[in-house]
Amino acid sequence: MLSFEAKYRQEAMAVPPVYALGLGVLKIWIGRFYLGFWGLVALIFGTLGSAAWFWRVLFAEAVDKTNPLLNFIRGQVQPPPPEVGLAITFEDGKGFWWLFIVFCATITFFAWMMRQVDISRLLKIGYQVPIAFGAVFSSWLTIQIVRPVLLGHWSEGFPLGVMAHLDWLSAFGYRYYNFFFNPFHAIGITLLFGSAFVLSLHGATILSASGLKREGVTEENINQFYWDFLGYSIGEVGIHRLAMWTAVMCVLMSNLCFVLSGTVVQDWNAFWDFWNKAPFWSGFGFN
Amino acid sequence: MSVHEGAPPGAVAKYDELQRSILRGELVGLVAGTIMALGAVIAISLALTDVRNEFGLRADFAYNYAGVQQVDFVKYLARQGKQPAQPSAEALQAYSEWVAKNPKTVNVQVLNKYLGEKYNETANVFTYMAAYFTPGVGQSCEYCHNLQNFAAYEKPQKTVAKAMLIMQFELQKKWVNTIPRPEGQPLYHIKCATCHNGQAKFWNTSLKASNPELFGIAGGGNPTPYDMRNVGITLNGVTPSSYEVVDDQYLAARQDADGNINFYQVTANKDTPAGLNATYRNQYAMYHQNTALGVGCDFCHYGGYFKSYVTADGTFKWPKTQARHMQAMMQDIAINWFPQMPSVENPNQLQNYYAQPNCYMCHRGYVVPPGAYSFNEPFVPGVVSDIKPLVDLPLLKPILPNQ
Amino acid sequence: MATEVYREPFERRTKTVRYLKFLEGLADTQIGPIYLGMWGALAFFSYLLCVFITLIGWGEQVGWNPIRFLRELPVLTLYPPPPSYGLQIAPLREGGYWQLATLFLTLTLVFWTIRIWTRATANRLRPMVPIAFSAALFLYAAIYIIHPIWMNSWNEAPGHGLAAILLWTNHFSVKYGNFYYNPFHMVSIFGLLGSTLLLAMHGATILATLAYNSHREVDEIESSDEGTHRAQLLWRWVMGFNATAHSIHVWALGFATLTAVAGAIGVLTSGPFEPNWYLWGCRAGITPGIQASCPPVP
Repeated sequence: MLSFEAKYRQEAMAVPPVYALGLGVLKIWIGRFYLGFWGLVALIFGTLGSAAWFWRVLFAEAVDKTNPLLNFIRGQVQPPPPEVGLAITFEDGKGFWWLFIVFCATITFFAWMMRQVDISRLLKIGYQVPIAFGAVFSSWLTIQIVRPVLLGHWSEGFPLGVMAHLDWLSAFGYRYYNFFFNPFHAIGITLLFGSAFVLSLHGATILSASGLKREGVTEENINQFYWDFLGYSIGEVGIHRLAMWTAVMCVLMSNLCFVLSGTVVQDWNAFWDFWNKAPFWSGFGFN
Repeated sequence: MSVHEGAPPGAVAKYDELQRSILRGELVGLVAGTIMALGAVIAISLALTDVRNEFGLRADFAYNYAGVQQVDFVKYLARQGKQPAQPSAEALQAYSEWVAKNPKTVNVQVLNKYLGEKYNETANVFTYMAAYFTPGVGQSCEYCHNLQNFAAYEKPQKTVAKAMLIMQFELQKKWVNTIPRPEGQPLYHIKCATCHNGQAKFWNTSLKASNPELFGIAGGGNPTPYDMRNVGITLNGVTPSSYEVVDDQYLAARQDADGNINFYQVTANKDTPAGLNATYRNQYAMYHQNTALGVGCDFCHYGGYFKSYVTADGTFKWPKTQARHMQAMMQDIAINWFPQMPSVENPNQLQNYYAQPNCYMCHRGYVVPPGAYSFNEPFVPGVVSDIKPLVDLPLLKPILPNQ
Repeated sequence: MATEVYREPFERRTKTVRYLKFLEGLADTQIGPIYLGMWGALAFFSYLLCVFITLIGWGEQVGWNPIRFLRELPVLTLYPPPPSYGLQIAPLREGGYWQLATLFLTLTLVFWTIRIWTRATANRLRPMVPIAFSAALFLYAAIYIIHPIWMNSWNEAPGHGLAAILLWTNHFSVKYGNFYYNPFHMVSIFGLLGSTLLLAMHGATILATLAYNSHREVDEIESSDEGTHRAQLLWRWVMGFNATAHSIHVWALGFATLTAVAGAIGVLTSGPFEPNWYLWGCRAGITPGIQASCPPVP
């Protein structure tokens, strides 16, 4: 327990219960972890799903009998083949385990988000953390559930495995002509690199001033530095707002680039025909 | 029932107010998120209403992993606002007089050689002509024939059509019948419509200028109009030499060290020196195939490693070996057949031009060309024609599973 | 409690300052004054030259037609010299424009880094921002300069243009097997996605605890207060581990730097050390499944 933790735990115990968060019945701490109703749900389904994955990959479908590490890297739990469609199959060889693990993972992620809501409430702080987590949860839902449902078969989901999902991603990128031509992918990647850039700037900025208070260095030095350097200092609150929304929009944009592929757009190069053949280019005589 | 039983009076409201006051700052983000959500909703509704069929864009999108479907030729024409051509009333009248006079054919040279004795009957020849020539080329009988004497070679079009028919059968025999294919996959037949798609003149220089997208590689050196518009960009009228355009040198069949014949240098990292130009060139040739067949790369390739013919789980990629076979056919057409076609202006003279057919010529954005025909009975090759290929291009040794 | 969000500004320069009203309640509204200085001027002029040369190259390609320029803008590219030129200086229209533009772009980035350095020290800060920036500079140098020199051809570098960067990324990956199997690329992507995750976590945590003034991070590092406590407990209760106001920024800088540095190593090792990352993956035994696609490849 941290030095100041006891006070906050006491305070948390006094926070009124909420039906959606399990009425506070499991308002207990296990070591440093808070449990709560959603914590228990996450624990049960998380354990089930992980155990199933590890069992499949390390033992049941082990690709390399001698090296368990390679099994971990190379192993995969594959989605049902296309002929299964959207059926819930219980056949071992037909992707039952994929369905099972995806089901467990979805419940776990949702429970984890609700748990963050629970804890945010107990700590009397805002819900930005579960909102941000919700963005990445929506990504899971989009890729593994919404898109397969729209296209009519589970086989559109990605295989669960370390290298296998890289392989899937590599193939997916070349399936709709080329993902490099997907504008939403481009925006997502821009925000992804933008995230790393913002993170690097923010981390470096704070570290450049940390521990210098004795020498009279305050946030105003940082402001002054940014005005000198860029002409604009976004401010202590602004940087975090920018940070959160850069990261969240990155994920939301990537959702869009996934869900549009195969449902609406088959060919991200042909997509740009709208630009090449737009009526406002006609009549200039260079076509 | 109140779920907040036991809470101090006003506590819940106070907490809620606190949360709200903090969240107010996220207004901008939430608005952006709402726009995103709206975008997603629009996208999903678009998917549900299936705009793909509405617009009938380049590809039919019928391609999936379970198998490929052929798009109906009539439907394909309908999308362009056309209907399959029919013999004109005048031609039918002339034919009925002709068949009454000549129930046995007069001077039919090709059909009966390739397809057998059946085509010594005038009626059977007419059935063939009306079924394949007329809709395929989009012209009535009088386009080639003298209606008073169907047997005469008065119109140069007939000479050309005869040469084309020979080419069709020879290509069928040499390339299409030998395509490596999995069991159960139908074998398609080349007919006039396969390339002509209802147009008599679909391949000439004037069309090439006005429809660059139809004639990507052919002659112009622009491999893939959709993909490399910047190749068409000129530097004061000259293509920038820093981008080396795909030219005949790369299109021509040539053997590599392993004895394989590579067509338009489709090797990403084999025999490529330093620099990425060879890779770019290779990729554009590949993109052309994406566009022409309306498929993604992983229709033929294993996405993890393009050079492999099998996926990581051992599935053999038939389309890859088939595409290789088809490229060989393309080269055969370019090297052997196009230069030998008589020209309409002067049927006694060969056109003798080099043009590179491309995948789009027949495929038109579909895996199976809309103008290809599928029959239950296989094509039985008959006697060899009087036109022979200039160079006997060797058949590729097919790459098959478990090799 | 939630009302006081901003600290009153003190000793702010008021000359040449504008205020962006629409940012009120979201971020700082003051804009300017910007500092020029010698390094700033040098960076500005060399960037101007770079843009000027690029525009000349693009303009020539569209025959100086402004409408066509707009239409072709996404695909307009200054290509590097063809492989036949190796590392030589090429004629302007055969990659010379690219060489000049790249030269001035490189100079801009170097001047810019020096400028950040001088501005940081002038404001009595440690030069952490220029150090972080130099990681990105290293990645740039690896892609545009070191790798091409190593491969003895400027043709290995990306062209200057929007589509050109995408195409280069794609084709570079294809040329060297498949970059998904490049372990340095894997680490770099780990850093990249990790950066986004960290950014979301940190941003959201601070926004959630704004009411307790956790955003005053420089002060909080000295002596943490209620806001930081609540933020720390949030993560401790959620996942059993928490950073501090100081250490989260070390994590941040570490992840962001890892992205660039690992990426640069991935580019530099492609070619001289490993010509085909897929085959490397096969040798290392990490390609997925039963590895049917590994050599012997037909």
